[in-house]
Amino acid sequence: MATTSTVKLRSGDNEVFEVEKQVMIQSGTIRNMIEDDAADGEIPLQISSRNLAKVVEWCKCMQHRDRNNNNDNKEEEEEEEEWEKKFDEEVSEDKDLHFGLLLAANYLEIPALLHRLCQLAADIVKGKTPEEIRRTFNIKKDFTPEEEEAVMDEHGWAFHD
Amino acid sequence: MHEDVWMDILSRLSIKSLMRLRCLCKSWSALIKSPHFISKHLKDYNDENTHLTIDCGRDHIINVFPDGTLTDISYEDVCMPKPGIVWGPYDGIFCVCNNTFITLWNLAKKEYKVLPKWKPCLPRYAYPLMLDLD
Repeated sequence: MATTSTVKLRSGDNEVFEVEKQVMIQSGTIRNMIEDDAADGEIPLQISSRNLAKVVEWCKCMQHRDRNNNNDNKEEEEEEEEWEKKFDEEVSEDKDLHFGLLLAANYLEIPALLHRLCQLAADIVKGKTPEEIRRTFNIKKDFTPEEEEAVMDEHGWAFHD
Repeated sequence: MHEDVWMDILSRLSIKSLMRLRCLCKSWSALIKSPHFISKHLKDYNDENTHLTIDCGRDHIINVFPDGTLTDISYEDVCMPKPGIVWGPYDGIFCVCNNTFITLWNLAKKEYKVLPKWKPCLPRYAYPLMLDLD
């Protein structure tokens, strides 16, 4: 096992983040590297500095919350809840950030972050019309007019309240 | 985006939302109707607040049950495909039996299938068990 207590992450646009290993072991990918002694140098990641900074921030917040779980500190608890609420709002309003973090959480294997981002995406899908969903997710309608008619015949009822 | 991530997102939606999304494009439609996704949705989707009452007509059979697959269904939506005794749901599928046919009824998707070439050779209570045997 490596002796240093931090790990260096290099973003796709060459920014280096030095983070405590204890924080980053929430990532399965980085945890495996640490356990294999492959994390002594910098770890190059195909993740932009903006997205990586957000992932690191999220991991720090979660680690802080888990460490203080047994403390009955109402003030800190409220601060953490406020932070999570802001995180949700920021992600929901910024499609590029949301998608970038989804890819990063999937690649870095951070299940809790991935689940949260998936739930936010599901909540966005729920409240949108098909046209809005197509625009949000860059989906091209590829049905022929006949296929569209058939699919609407079969599932059109789902568009009514 | 990786297909697993899309599956994770879509498995959090109700059947009614998914039926809408099947009308968006071919790849989403194929993903949503794939057996792998259906199994994942059955396992992951959970809405404990869902309860439904069915009035089965003449026999006045009423079932009340929680089943996450049946979110978004209003009382007016419930229309039995054939008369008979209702069993289930088993993974969202009901079995409607009478002396002449067995119907598998997916209430959430509003689809049903009458089992072909069925002859009454088992006691009536045994037929729903076949759903468990798959």
